[in-house]
Amino acid sequence: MEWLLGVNIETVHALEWASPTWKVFLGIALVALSLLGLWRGRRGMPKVGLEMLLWSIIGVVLVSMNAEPTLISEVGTPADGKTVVLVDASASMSVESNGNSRFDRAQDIVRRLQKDVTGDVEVWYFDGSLTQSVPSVVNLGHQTDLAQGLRSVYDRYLGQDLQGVILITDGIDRSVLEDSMGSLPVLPGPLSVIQMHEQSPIYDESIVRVDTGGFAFQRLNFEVTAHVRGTPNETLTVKLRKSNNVVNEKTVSLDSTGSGKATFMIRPLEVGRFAWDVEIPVDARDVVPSNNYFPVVIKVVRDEVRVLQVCGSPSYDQKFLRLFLKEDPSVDLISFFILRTHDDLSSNWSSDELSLIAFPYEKLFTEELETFDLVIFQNFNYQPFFTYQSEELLGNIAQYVRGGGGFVMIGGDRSFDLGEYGNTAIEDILPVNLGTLEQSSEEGFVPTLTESGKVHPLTQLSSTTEESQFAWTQLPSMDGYNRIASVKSDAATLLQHPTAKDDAGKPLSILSVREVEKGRVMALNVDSSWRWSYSEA
Amino acid sequence: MPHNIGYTGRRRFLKILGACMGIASAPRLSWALGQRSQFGIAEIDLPTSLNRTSAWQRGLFEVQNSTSIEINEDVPRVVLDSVDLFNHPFTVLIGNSAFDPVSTLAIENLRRYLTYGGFLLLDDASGRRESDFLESCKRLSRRLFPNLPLAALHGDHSVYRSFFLLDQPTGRFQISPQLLGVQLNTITPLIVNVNDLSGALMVDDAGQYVHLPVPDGDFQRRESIKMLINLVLYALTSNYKHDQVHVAELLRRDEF
Repeated sequence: MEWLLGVNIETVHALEWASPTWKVFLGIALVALSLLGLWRGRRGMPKVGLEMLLWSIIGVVLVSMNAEPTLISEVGTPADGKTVVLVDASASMSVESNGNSRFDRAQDIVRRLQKDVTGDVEVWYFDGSLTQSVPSVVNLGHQTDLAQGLRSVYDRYLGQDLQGVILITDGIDRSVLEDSMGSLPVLPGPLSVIQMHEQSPIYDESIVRVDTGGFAFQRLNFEVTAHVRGTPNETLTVKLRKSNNVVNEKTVSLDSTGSGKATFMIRPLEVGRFAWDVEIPVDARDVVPSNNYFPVVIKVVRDEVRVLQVCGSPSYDQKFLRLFLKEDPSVDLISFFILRTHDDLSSNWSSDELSLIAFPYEKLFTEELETFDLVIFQNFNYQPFFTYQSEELLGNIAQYVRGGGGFVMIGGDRSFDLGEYGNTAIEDILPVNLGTLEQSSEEGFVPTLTESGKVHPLTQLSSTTEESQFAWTQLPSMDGYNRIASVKSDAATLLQHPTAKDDAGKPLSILSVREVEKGRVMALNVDSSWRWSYSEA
Repeated sequence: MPHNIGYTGRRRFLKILGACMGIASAPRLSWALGQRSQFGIAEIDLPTSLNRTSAWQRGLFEVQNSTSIEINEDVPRVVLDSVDLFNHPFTVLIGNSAFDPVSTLAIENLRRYLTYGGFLLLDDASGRRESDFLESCKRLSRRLFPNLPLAALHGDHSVYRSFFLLDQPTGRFQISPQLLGVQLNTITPLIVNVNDLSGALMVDDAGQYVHLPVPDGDFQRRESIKMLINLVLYALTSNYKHDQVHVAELLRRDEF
């Protein structure tokens, strides 16, 4: 048999008792008692010693049979555990030296291991995933993830004793090996590492990894940080691209170890999943051009609706609008109220007594403007603040609306013509034309729905048109209104004055809306809409 | 695209000169679209409540002088169970003695009024620490909001920061260093001052103050004016300084 199989067969024998221990002891006790009783009855008789010896032998035989003796023989041959070889199949393994790539030399080592190591040798290739298919040098992967490779070995050989795990790699990890050091698994066998390297240094600029966080909020800045490697103490140009267009470019100074990082600030304006990539221009000497590129996918989600409320004077109208917006958990409201004007300086309060904060109009209407979904000018007169920058800052707001922002102007003695918005960039986007001579009225009135207002979702107060119209007639009257010259041809009037006319002879618009390219604008030329809030009470 | 504006010395100077602390450099237009939407104070009319129109008119004058708020100097009296209450989002109830429990209709009306944005200042003119008026106020508060306590408003409350930086409330007397209030979600629509605020502001027909505040006289009156202005600003702007951008600015100035 050994000749037939070609191995040494070892045999191991063992005698075991099949009966339970209590049964064996019970048998011994019964035999002993029987022999004792027999000896006492036959005591003094001739040849009793011989007879007792024979009975004792019979007793031992009975006890042995009762214990059910079993002979177990194990026949077999010892086998060595498997040896697992993990080969790095990332792009950096294509670096050549003397005509042979690192990967080719790794394959040579694999073949030697398969020949010399006793027992089975299983070979796996890894970059970001694990495979037993041998990749060609030209099709090596983009990523070296050592931690993932070792975890895959742990999972696949769970419960087995391996003779050893041999890792063949150049050691350039592009994942997050540092971060996962604490969570690396205990392998089912000893780990040996064979590092592939060249005697002479190579020229390779690479993107090690790109940190993005995975998602971003619409209109809010987020960072994309590219970690790069190259020649120590040199500089490296790093580009950020979207849809193959370069959107930003930075020059990174590498440290003495050749590492550096470039951080790009992005403010996404649209919601969705977007592919970006970071790229280093390929130098002619670069032996691994494929690691000069790193794609990332970023999901842009909508945060809360960000609303900027700017009010020229604290008032009931401002208070109730703020309370209304603050009640909505989906609204992130930032309010600025002008608490004090030039005329109030005569009150002689010391600035140390006051708890006022600056109105950062420059910042709000330049760099911060895009972070808002809606800007509300509520009885706000821009001129005292914007001064010589008026044209620029109002132009920014108009541009913001055309790009998709929302803008609302609410009435008062600092709004519309009273706020001198005529012939400004704001008038261009408003639904109404300014420039009327009679700029306001303090006559109370109840606004009425127009035909557009009866069907527009903004003015629907109830589930049916009839109920909604009735509800509008029950609302409190307004205390006055800002007059306007006329309504623009591409705007819709939703509420109008019951009797007053504009300069064009049409019913005076009280609430009007307009789409301006990608944005929307609303004009409400009253300052007593706060009374509508109490209609619920 | 919006233009990015750099900070230059000239701009910084103009910014400080013209806009810092919310001060505008141009004269303001000063009328609302109708007197009814201007800020005013209405007194709650109860059988035992006091009438101190002159105090509120004096206070409103100071509000007009010190802030950008447009005021209506009329001080009407309203009853708690009327719909007219909703025409006056800022009301005061002054007393120096106990008042009888108001009707259930009045309670429901007042609760809706406060819940939907109204503001009520209870002004204790008794000059006593635990007065009968204060007990009546506590009973009113319990009936209005059974599950919400009438509790002390500590120094970090917005009412002490809404316009002036105040350490404590005051009035004709210095009885309590804290206001009392009911916190309803993020706002405090009902506030009690036990220091007789209106007493410090009352003037006679000749425009002379009626009472000399004790113990600090005119300084205390000045603080009382500041307290009223803060109450008005708080009633109108609530906790807007807690908006994220303001918190960052206030923390930077170490004034929060």
